[in-house]
Amino acid sequence: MSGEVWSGVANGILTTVQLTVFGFALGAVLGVPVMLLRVSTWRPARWTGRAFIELVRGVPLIVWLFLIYNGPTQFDPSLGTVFTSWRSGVAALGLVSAVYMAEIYRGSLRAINAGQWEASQALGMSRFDTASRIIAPQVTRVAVPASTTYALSLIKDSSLVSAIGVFETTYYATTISSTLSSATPFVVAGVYYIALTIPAAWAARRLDSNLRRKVMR
Amino acid sequence: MSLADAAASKTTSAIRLDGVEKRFGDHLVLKRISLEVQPGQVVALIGPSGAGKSTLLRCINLLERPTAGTITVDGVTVHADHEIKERDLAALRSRVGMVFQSFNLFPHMTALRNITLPQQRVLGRSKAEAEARARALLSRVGLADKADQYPARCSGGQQQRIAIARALALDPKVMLFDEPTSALDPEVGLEVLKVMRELADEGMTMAVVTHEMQFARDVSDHLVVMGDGDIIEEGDPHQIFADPQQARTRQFLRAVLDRE
Ligand SMILES: Nc1ncnc2c1ncn2[C@@H]1O[C@H](COP(=O)(O)OP(=O)(O)O)[C@@H](O)[C@H]1O
Ligand SMILES: [Mg+2]
Repeated sequence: MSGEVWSGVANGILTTVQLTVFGFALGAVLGVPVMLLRVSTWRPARWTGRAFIELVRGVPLIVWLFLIYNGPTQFDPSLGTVFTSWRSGVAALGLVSAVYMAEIYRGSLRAINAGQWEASQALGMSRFDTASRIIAPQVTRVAVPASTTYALSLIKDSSLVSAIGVFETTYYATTISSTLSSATPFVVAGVYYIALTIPAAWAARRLDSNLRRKVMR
Repeated sequence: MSLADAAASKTTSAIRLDGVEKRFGDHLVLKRISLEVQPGQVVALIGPSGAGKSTLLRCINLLERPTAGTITVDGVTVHADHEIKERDLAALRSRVGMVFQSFNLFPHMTALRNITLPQQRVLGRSKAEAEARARALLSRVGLADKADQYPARCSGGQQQRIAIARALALDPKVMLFDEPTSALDPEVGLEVLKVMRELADEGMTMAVVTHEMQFARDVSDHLVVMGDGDIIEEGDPHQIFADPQQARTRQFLRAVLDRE
């Protein structure tokens, strides 16, 4: 295994990290309104949320990647400057993450005791204050373990973005592999993915136990 | 008392329920209940489980919306058959403090923050003002040293006293207690009952759902016995304990007093 393979594939690591971080951040933010639709007491909103979740979840990530990257330019080629491969990749990861995070938030919301709403309302706090200051922080805390597990899997799922030509780890491994007619670059890529996942998992566990120690629910 | 005084005291009863009914679907849980609590009075509500005691209490601050009837607290009136305005709801809730069986402290905030946040958000008090009030109330319930603890680090009895302080911080006209000691060991419950007794002695208007028969008999001014969504019997606590008029009251008292 030559050093050139190691350094060649390493060129994609930063992009892999960026794709994961931006895709996850987008999903974590968009997941909130999706979850709110999904749990709304107003039926049309709830139905919309549900349909959106089923639609996004029902289509594989790689299909979303091609749809977002190629779809708009088919109608108007000038949209190609908007839907670059990098932006399309982040958008598709964000979209898929949004519905996943929405379901994590919804499950966490159900874990909050109804007594928390009641106590806050009995104190005269507004619905908005109750949601934002009493419920949301608790939901966030409950959601941390599942969210970090998802974020870790997103590091690996981001490899699919190589299919639309984003220069990340798997993209470099693929091109170097075909140049050298060797599978070695994929071994290297695998090592890099593990090297990214292990410290991230460690940091996630630290975050979780710190929060736990502070609140001790 | 002059006629005018009598009229004034009538309109200023602390709590007044007129024909309050609550249905959950087909299930009639409160059967047109009328009840009046005078300022400074302590009313104890007792009765078998499922009688509707909690539901009645929760109707007073509109955690449950009654399906019929009228509720007046300290001059603020809400009719079940009119749409309840957000402003009336806030006005009513600001006058009523509530203490739950399960404490319901906010687990992500310290004891102090549990008490200051509602003051700041609901009454618009400054942080300094709210903290001064919170610390005064925490010492009053004997927990000055717990200000910076999270609820999970406090015993059940301590949590319930913090919850009482949190409700008192908003200067309610009326305090509602829904079995405040049922989740606690008897000795620990005593700490909470002591705080409640002091509150009663200071003239707080209180409605207390309780299984503590001693508290009902010795601390309350008025006893309400509920069964099956209705008031079976009400009156002077000592009299009812000594000589209940209704067979169902007798039956209930025999069952609970035997258990003690
Ligand atoms: N949210 C609800 N939905 C349906 N039924 C309820 C609800 N809350 C209370 N009930 C019913 O109302 C009756 C009275 O309950 P509750 O007021 O809790 O009684 P108590 O406090 O006297 O034990 C019970 O039969 C209970 O099952
Ligand atoms: Mg009850």
